[in-house]
Formats: sequence, structure tokens, C-alpha cells
Amino acid sequence: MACNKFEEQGLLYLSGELGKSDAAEYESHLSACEECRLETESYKRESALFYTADVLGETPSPAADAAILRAGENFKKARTPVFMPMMFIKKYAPVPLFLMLVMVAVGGYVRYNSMHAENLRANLTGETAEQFAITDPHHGAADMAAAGRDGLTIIDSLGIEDSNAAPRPLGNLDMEGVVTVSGGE
Amino acid sequence: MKQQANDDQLLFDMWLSGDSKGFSGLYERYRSRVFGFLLRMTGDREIAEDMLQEAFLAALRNADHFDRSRSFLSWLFGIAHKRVIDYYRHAKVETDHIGDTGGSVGSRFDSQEQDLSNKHLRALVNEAVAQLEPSQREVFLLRELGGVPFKEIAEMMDCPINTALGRMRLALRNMRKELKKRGINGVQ
Ligand SMILES: [Zn+2]
Repeated sequence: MACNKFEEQGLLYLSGELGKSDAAEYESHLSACEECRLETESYKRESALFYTADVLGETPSPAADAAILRAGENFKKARTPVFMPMMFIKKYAPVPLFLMLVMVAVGGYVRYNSMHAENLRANLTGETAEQFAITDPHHGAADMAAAGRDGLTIIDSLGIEDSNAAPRPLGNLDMEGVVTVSGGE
Repeated sequence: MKQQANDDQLLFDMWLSGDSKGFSGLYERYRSRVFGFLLRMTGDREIAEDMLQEAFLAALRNADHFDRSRSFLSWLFGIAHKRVIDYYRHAKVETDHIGDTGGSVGSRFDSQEQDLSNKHLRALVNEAVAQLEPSQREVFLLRELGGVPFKEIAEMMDCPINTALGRMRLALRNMRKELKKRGINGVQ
């Protein structure tokens, strides 16, 4: 009767609500206090034997069960049209986001390459190897011929007949990426 | 306990994604706990069944707001507990009256799969529960049937945590006394 620790700490200890150091403190108190040890053991035993779902729980009538399960089913049907797309978006939002990033990256890369290719074409048609080396420090003069071929290959693969026409299809490609994603959201 | 919490989350995800097996799974798992709580707080099977339905439907409606760091059962008990508060408020039921009606609950259950001795134990324990003062019974059932942490019980009952702990302590003491009167001794 003298010790109040079971009420203050013991119940919280048993419900798992005490922090580590408080739990350790209560445990060491248990080894010193007979009253709290008895109280704790009794509650553990009673809880396991009598205060269970088997003993304290009750079964609703089959009619109530059926009504509730039916209500749950109807609720699902009523909600599905709005609910499902939201769940879908939540679940798969990273996919269009990722695709958008890829599209932007590819668009940028292609645009860069086409500009580069234009430079190369200009180099091949008029400018000297020395000038090329200066405008593009990543390529040595000796690489000019090979790099020039690469540039032309990119232009061919894009189906561009005239270097002046390059921006149009690229702009569309870029836009498509953005439109697809914003349409999905 | 941890496994059970994981299973709850799994069923809850099924429920959220529109699979009604998630709802029925959680209903079957917890209906007897929630119904036991409602029945012992109202003392009326029909009212408790209505409240059970209301509680599960409110859970359906508010599923989006469920905080996953909490236990699903605690959350469900919080919803059921609100029904009990509304019931007390609207029915203007005298607390003494609640205590009285609670007394007949134990003799009313009619579950056929219970064996006789278990049925006898159930009857005696539930008689003892019915003798508890309502606020003690409330804390006791929220904790024992709902596994609700005391911190959340205090929030639900709008009282300091020490009050909740004090009520639980009294409930345990009174339960022990009432069980002893009926020849049941857990301490030995
Ligand atoms: Zn002590």
C-alpha cells in the first residue's frame, strides 16, 4: 500500500510505454520492492488468463455481421471510381516523373548533338582543322575527320536533310515528353 | 504482436486499394473485441450492434486519415469509443443505469462454440466487469480488449494520463476482489 510505483510506472511498463531508461529503472525497482513485484506478476497472470479476447470479446449476431460486411462491400463500390485513380497515381507517380526526366535528358542530348553536328558540317564544308580545334577543345585536330563522320551520322539518323531544319522535330520531341506526363496526372 | 501489426497493415492496404477482402479480414479479426467493448459499455446488444456497424463504417470513411505509426486496433477503438461518448450524451443515460444494465450482459451471450467451462469463466469475469464503475470499466476495456496505450486512453477520455492510470489501478483491484468473490483467484 505504501508504494505507488506500480500505478505510476508499472502499468506503463507493462503496456510498453516506458522509454528504455525508465523501463530499466522500474525493473531495478521490482527487484527491491516486494509489493510492486507481486502486483506486476498478478496483473500479468490475470491478463493472460481472464482479460483476453476470448473471455471479454462478444460475437455479434450473424445478421449484424452480414449487414456490416454488405455495407463494407457497397462502400467500396461507391468509392472505387474516384478512389482507384488516386491510388494509382500515388503508386505510379514516380514512373511518369522518371520518364519526364529521361525525355528531357534525351531531348537535351539530341539538341546538343545536332548543334554540334551543325558545327561539324560547317567545319567540313568550309573551315580549317585549326579553327575546329579551337571551337571544340575536346577534339584534337587529328580527330577532325572521324568526329565529322560521327556528326553526319547523327544528322542522318534524325532524318534531317537540311541542317537548317533541325530545331523543328527536336522541339516536338521535347514537347511530347512534357505533354504525355502532364496528361497522366 | 509485431506480426499481427504487419498483417493489419497488409489487410489495410488491400482495403485501401479497393479489395473488400481487406475490410472483411480486419472486421473478422477485430469484431469480437470491438463488440465486446461496445456491449459492455452500453449493456444493450441491439444498440451495440448498431454502434459496431457505425464504427466500422466510420473507419471506412476515414481510412485515409489513419496514422500508420499507430496500431490499427487502437485507432478502431478510438472510433468505437466516440460512439460510446455520443451514446451517453444523446441517450442521457444515467451512469448508475449503465452499471445496472451491464450486469445482465454476462448471462446473455449465446456463442455455441464456447465449451461449458469457458462459458462459465466468461460469465463470471463479465459479471465482475459489470460491477466496475463506468470510467474504470472504460479504461480497463480500452486497455485489455483494445490494447490502447494509456497515453491514447487519456486523450480519448480527455483526462490526464495519471487519471487514466489511477482508474486502471482501481479497476484491476476491483476486478481481483470481484473475481475472488466468485471463487476465481488469479494470484494463487
Ligand atoms: Zn514498489
